[in-house]
Amino acid sequence: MNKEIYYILKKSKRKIDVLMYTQIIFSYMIVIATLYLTIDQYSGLSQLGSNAREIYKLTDNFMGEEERSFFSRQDNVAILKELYEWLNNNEHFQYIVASTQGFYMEEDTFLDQFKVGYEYNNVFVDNQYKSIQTNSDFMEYYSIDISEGRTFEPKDYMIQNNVVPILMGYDYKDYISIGDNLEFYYCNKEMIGRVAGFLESGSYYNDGRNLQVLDRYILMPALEDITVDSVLTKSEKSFQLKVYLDHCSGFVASDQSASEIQKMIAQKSLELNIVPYQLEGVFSFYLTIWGVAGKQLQSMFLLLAIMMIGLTCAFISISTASKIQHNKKNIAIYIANGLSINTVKQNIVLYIIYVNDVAIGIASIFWLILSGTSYFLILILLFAFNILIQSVFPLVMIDKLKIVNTMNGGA
Amino acid sequence: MLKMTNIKKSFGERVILDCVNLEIDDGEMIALMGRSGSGKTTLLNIMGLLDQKDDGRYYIDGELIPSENDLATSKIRNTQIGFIVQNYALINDRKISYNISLPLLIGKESKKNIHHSVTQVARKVGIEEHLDKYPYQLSGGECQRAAIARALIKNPQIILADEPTGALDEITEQQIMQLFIELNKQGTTILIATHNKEIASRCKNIYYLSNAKLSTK
Ligand SMILES: Nc1ncnc2c1ncn2[C@@H]1O[C@H](COP(=O)(O)OP(=O)(O)O)[C@@H](O)[C@H]1O
Ligand SMILES: [Mg+2]
Repeated sequence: MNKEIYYILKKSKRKIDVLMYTQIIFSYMIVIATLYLTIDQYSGLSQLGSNAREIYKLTDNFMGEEERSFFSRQDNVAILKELYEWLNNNEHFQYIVASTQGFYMEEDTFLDQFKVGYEYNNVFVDNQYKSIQTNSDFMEYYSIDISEGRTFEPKDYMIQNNVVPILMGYDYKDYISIGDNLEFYYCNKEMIGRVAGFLESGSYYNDGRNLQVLDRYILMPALEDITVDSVLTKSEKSFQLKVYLDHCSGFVASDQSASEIQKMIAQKSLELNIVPYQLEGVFSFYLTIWGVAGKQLQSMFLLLAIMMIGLTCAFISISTASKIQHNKKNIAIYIANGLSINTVKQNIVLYIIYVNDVAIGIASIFWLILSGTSYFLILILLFAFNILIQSVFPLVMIDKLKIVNTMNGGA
Repeated sequence: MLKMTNIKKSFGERVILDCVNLEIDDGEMIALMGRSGSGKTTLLNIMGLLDQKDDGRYYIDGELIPSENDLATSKIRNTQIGFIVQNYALINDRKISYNISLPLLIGKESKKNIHHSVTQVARKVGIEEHLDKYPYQLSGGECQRAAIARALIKNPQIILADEPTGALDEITEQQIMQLFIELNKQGTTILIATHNKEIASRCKNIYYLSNAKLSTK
């Protein structure tokens, strides 16, 4: 008898129920799909959590006249080299180099998907392949692993000639082998890259705005010891400036506060008599395994999921209210004969739980079969939240019920 | 025994009950008279714990009723009060037997006891042959008898009847009044709210409700 009202609501089938259930199941499916698009990608990157110290981007402040005059001065390569060494060997922070100079090849060597700019609406640069130049802290910070071959060794960063080992992103596996040579231009200097290994699939790094998956990248060691003292041609000098300038615009990861690090860097800049480098905050990790399109898809799904949940809550709330309205005479009779109002309310919440339960059950079983994941905990939380939202209106209705009028058949 | 002191009730600005005092002894049969809209139903709802009073105290058998306590008031509605309304308030898709047994079902009585009590009370009000029928198969008078049976089934302290014959023709009205009188003779305390002088005249005591005040004349 305590669940009488629950059974009345459950039994009272209305045509709209089918529509309601379809809608609810659909919206929970979308929620799960959204979870799949967002969470799974993060959980695959769980090692990030352990070393996710705040990182900051370092940027130079050379602008306009200053920039021109800086580049015209002979000894500036040495200054930048000193700055880079100071950054790279600093004990107060990890210094991560991830310069993004592309590889220019004279021939169209690989598929378009490896080219710079490919994700951006297919506007890519001909013969220019995605590449980053990395130091050892980069490899450590992002736990870059090798699926085949070998990773960079300390001596690789010290190379002075133009033959460098390179690591290929996982997607290159079908197109090139370990030991193969690639002729390319790096900052206008002709170089030879020898494939030393392949990255693990799904390796990634934060470029300051997004997590970038490295599957289609070529990694080159950030060269640390380019000869400075020898007599240089003009192009050689500009190459070195470019490289060190690039190296000095890396990322800082530290437990220390941004202002403390900024202070250190400002002081070092002062020492070197250059315009102080500046730290900028970097967006928290926001993964898009599918690049830019994936991110859009993800936010579209999120929006859709929120809308669907809103709609679902409204739908269930109104449907339950209409069932109460439909059965209010009987509910009033039960109350007048001694059923407690709290029991009635519990019954209503129970019914709302039942409706959500069925929907969430069907949706997650379906999804479990489809994808092998079900996001139990998050769904439970969402479930609880939905129950709460959906219950408000029907419960207020019971509070406002004029028992005697209603059981007498009045309004 | 039932006692109310200084009961107040307003709807918005309108004062419906203003310091109403009422004492009902066991075995009484009272008519509560007043013009339509004078507040009879309001007072009965408060007595039946189906509406909240704004102020005042309400005792049953000397015990103060905690009117905010849902569990306590529902228990009292279930065991101490039988409520009867003009349109019977029967559940239409349930048999008469189920309708009569409702207070017992809510009170979680055993099936065997329920069957016994239902038969007994149905005989008392004269509808034992209708127990397996549905409310829509019965006449108005028979439906009201079923409602009275339901109100009686737990031997409540009092039966509160709000215009119990309002929907019935004159002959049936007489029969229902006769039933009330017999039940009262057997010891049931009854309060009937009515605007009908005829009906009021058949009760032992008459209270009048007018201008939000209760009086014996
Ligand atoms: N829930 C309510 N809200 C506002 N006004 C009400 C409500 N219930 C009753 N009233 C008003 O209170 C007055 C008394 O009503 P009622 O007790 O039903 O009178 P009676 O039963 O004597 O005809 C009426 O004017 C009625 O309109
Ligand atoms: Mg009335």
